[in-house]
Amino acid sequence: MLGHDRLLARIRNLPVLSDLLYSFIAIILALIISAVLIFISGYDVGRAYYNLLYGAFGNLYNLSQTLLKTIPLIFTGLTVAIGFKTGLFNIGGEGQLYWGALASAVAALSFPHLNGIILIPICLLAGALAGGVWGAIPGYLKAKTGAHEVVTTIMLNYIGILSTSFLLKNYFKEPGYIDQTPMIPEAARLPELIPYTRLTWAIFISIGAIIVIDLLFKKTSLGYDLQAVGENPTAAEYAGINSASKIIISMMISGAAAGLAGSSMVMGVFNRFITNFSPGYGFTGIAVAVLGRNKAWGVLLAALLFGALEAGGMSMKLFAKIPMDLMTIVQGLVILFVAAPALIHLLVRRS
Amino acid sequence: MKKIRFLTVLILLLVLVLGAGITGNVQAKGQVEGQVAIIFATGGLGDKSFNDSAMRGMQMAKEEYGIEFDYAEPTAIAEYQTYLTQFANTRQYDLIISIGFDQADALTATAERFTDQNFAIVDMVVDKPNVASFVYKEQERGFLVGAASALVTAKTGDPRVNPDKVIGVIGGMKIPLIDANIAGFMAGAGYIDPEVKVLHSYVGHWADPAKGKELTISMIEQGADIVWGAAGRSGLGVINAAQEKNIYAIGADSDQGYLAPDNILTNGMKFVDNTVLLAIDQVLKGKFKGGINVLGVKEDVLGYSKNLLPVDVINKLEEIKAKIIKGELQIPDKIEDVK
Repeated sequence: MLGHDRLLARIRNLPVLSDLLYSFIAIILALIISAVLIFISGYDVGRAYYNLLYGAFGNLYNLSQTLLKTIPLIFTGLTVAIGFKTGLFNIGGEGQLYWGALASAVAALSFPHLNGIILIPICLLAGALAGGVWGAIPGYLKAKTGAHEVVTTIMLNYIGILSTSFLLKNYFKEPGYIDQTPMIPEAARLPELIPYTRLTWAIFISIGAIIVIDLLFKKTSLGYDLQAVGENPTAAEYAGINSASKIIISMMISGAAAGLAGSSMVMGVFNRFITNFSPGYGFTGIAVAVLGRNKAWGVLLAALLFGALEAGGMSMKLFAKIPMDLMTIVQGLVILFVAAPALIHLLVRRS
Repeated sequence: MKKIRFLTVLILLLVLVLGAGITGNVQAKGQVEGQVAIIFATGGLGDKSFNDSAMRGMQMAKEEYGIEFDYAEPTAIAEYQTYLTQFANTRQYDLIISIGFDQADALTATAERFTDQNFAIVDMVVDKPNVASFVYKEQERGFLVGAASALVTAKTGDPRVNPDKVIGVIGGMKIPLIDANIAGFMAGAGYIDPEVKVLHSYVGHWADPAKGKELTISMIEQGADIVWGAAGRSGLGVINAAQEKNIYAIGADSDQGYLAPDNILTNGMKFVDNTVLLAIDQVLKGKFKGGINVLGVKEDVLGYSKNLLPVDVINKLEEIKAKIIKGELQIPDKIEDVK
């Protein structure tokens, strides 16, 4: 797993200098190359990019859809970024997200008569806790047995998704053809910011999470300890930091963020837990964290970009009839260019 | 300086690309008779069945009426509402069509929000004034293929048919819609020959061909030589088993004959294409109205396909079809009601 550790170090130590500028260039390069691909595939480049832009920012509704798709990505981006800071590669966001979602839904359904001011925090807490516990398991395994978190988190994704699905089907399912819980009580639903858009207060919760994580790493001793373990666990031990417990704590916070991604979907978008609802937010979070350079505010910008690509990509698919695969290629190119700054350095120097 | 020049070039390129985008979109669209959006069921295009048939209907409408259409292929139930809202929000469609029963919840919510938008749903009832629901007398096609099976299982000299008068039907899930098919199948077999034994079971999933195959093989072991798979993608397992054990399978929804040309006896056809066409026709002629449309053999949206059926069987089935259209046959839609 030496290669993996080196990769991790690489990703953690990407140059800070003019990050924004390089990311910007990377995005433009990716768009230009994608334009060529779209053209070669025989589609109308103009129509494609018009729909991409219009679908992401064209009107209030489309803008709100961009933000709507940004919210879970902020949480899952944070999930991965927190892990990276402690030298852990948490690929288990997807499973943690499902646990958070189910816990929020069940909490909401268990207390149907509570006032929203009490119920909403309870549901969020339940989601964060469930995701956190699911994240702490691979953390514990890593700290106590050395089991590599990449392997365990990947495996726990399947277990997480399938076990929540099992619980749903056997205990919480609403009668009918579809595997879903009943609607959660009105009080547990996050209020909509703009009517009929499903964009809710969840956006503020996600920004709050960014602030908290940012402060954690910049201002608290716990954050300092976590990073010290990430930089060099042996040195951290010498400095008197219990790296085993820090690994577990880091995975727990990381998992809690993913759990909140699930809660935000249940309480803001679907208002119920529904089978198979996540299109892989946990995995996209990895790309978001890499693009955001594992910094809390960087995650916000990266999540916004991916949200825009998702929303714009959808309208590109629907109205310009361009396959979603091309959109995935655009996203892939952005990451490729961002993660390979040397390439851009080279290009800049050459020109 | 060089950096700046590089950036300028990049930005110029971007402007060019985006500029092309805006001009590209201004190009006026030709004269269109109407705009329709369709949201497929989660199986997606390429299911050789329900969705593909709906797509054919859209293409037919395009040729016949000159409509334009956009479509979406959701991959999870959770995405239905996103796509429905996305289409409805453009306010440019004369009709938005939902394919498949599991869109009902999402459509109900969307139809409440966009009360001026016309919607249609195939295979399910959504009780809203701006939604036209198209459902089928499922038992009618069950009756036709059941009758065909009873006629063929009594034949001799066909290596795919054994002496036992046993046939089977495998449903996707135990829901009223599937049970209506099964009830029709039993009634159709009984109508031809009361001695024919009809086995039935359920996969419990729409996309589990392996389980479908397993159930088929167990029916073959009980003497069945014709098995109908009314089970979505799980039905592919039925066909697969039939091919392996060289018996007859009956397909569902579309003509699946090409999957096993020597073993697909016929198909319980659901002409989703005709249904879609009918829905669009109503809208274009200004006759759209919310409510339930129950369709069957009479409206040419249910039927059978000829495939390997012998001529005498086809003649008999045409006779039955005529009787159904005239309303001379009472076909039960619940298994308990089959005599």
